[in-house]
Amino acid sequence: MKRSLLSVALATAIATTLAVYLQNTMAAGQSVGSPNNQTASDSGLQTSETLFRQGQYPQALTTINGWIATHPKDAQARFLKGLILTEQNKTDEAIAVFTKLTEDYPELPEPYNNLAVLYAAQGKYEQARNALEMAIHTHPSYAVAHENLGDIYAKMASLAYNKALQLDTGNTNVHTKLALIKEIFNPDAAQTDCSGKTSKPAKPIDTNPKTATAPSPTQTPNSGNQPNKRDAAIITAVNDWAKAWSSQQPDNYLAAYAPNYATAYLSHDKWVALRRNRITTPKYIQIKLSDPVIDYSDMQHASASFTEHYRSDRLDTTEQKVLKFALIQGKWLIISEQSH
Amino acid sequence: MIHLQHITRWLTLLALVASLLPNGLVISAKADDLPIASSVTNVHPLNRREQLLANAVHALQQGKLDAALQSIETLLRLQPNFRLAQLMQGDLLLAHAQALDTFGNTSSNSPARNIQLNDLRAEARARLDTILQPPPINSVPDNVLQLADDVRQVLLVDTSTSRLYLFENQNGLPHYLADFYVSIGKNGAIKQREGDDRTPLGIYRITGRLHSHALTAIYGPEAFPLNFPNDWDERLHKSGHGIWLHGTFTGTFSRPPHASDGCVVLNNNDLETLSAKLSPQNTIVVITDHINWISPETAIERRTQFAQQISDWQHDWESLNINHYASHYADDFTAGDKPYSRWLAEKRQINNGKRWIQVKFERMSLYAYPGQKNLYLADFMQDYSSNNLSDVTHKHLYWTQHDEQWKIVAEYVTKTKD
Repeated sequence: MKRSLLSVALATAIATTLAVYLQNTMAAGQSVGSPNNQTASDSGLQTSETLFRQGQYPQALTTINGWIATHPKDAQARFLKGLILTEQNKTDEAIAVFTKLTEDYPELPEPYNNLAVLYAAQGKYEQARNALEMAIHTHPSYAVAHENLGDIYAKMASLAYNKALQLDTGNTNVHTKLALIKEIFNPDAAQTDCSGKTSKPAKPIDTNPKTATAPSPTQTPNSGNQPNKRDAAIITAVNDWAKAWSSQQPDNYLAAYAPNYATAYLSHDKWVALRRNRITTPKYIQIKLSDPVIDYSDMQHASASFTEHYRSDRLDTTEQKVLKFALIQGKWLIISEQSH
Repeated sequence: MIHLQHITRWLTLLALVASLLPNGLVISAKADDLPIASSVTNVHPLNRREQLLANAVHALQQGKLDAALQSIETLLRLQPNFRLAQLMQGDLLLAHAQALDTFGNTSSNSPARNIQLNDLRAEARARLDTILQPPPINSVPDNVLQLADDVRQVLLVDTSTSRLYLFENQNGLPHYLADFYVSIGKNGAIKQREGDDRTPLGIYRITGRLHSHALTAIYGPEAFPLNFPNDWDERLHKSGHGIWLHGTFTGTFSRPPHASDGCVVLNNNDLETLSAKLSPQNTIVVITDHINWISPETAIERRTQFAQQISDWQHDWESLNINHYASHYADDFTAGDKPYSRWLAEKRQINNGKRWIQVKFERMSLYAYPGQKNLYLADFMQDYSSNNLSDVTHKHLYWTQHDEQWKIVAEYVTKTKD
């Protein structure tokens, strides 16, 4: 989605600026200040433009460079050079050409617009926005710049929304481990009302009826998408893990984790001892999972996020959990576990 | 530079922000009527982040979309992980491109993201409502009627507005210094039992100060445990423990209004600002679900009325007239496990051995107790002398008032004040 937005904007902008360029060439000839008397039809400019339209960029570039050497003030030629460099993905060089044009001819909106498109392609949205605002400043009715500016704002908005709503996975990783260390050395703390296991605790179910009625892990994991085989494998792994936990079978539970699973603070052996103890001590354990979302970072790595309701004779909590899985010797095994 | 066609979009956004606020915003027809500078004083200078947030909303009120965006972007340079500001930035940017349908104009298929979005909307509602109100510079909360000299600060938490007010003791009344956004229990206020994820209402002391090396990272740089359950909570058989005032996990700037397991949570900047001014042993924490702001004069009137009852009780005690003394106690008064009748019988027994009694009070603080109508607390040092016994005790006397009748419902004694 990100790419399509930008490539469309880029294509639109290039096409439009090319159209503007051609229009200028045909209608006004040297309207932007070519110093010579030669007509466009037999100039290097014309030749280069033809080559450019045929997609012969290296030849077009050589030709236009030759022309610019003798006509250094030809704004249209320099503009064409910028377009050629853009097509060749020589973004930095293209930016240099268009930037120089905005300095020499600040009254032209097109170089600003193209600069903006190139900045946007580099993810430099602030600079893109500034360039487009300059374009509009020079020509308030310049429709392409308005349209592009809207796209830039929408793109920047979506980045801001993503930042606002991204999940704290990086943080909660550390935090889960720290919470664990506290449970071991300070058993009282684990029982306090505000032991605050989370930096971003889950919403309680009763305040969010939608969550309460959400499908169980055995149903469709992502709204609208049919579960594929890989999703089904992850969901089975999650369900097996939960089942081993709630039926208090530590061997099966531990088998859901990667061999030598450890945390930053607990060696594998200590972690195993702790988990065995935690699983076998309560009189009963109930685990209910809801709202599963499966994501993949690549073919061998996936994460399952879900709401986990844990209930035992000693504790009753609801939290958001993320299990990261890796495909190890044909099995999806847990390589990290985070609560938030 | 914004195209004219977008003006309607500013107004849409403004209306949306306004719709978030319970009291609504007054939208000025003439932008010149509302200079930004005058509005900014609403927020205490201690709280630069909320000041910038307030600036953005004030700019929006004036239809200045770009100025609002600038304030938000300044805020994000100061606090890059302030998610509410990121969300508002998203809205303000998107408003340049299209009309907005809602505050936080984004949608997602992910339940986790939608929970976050709703949390941020709740945070916006809580924060914006307060930062658009003038601070209570010339009023006092009706919970605090008199502060003893040894009380230096009062922290007043309003669970309904997600706000913590810092006061210092000036001549026996709380004087406003600053206020901060806080998160409380996931399930709101009125804690009843262990694990209910609620924040208690009541009057508490800070029992310690935990530094980061003694804490897991989720509590931030410092934590201040409270003495929940206090004597009144125990009378009501409330259970639970570990109610703290603390910060947030590194990297998390702010949490939703209802997020903790019962603790009161500040962001780490605010916690550090607060902590620098705090003398924990001399701080009273009042947690209420509603603040009535009254004038200092009204507070003093109520204090005088309350103090008169204490004085009458004192004189009747000293008079050795056991019936007069007993008349100050309610029928459901209990002293520890003792019911009223047994307590009274014992008092009569003791009184028979007295030839004289003298009682003096020092360091008296008077409160209207939060969360319960017509309940008052007198907290003081009692210097008791008599012909056969003398002692100095720290006392909590809980009173109820019905019509003009004041009665003691509970009396608790500790040997020393701290």
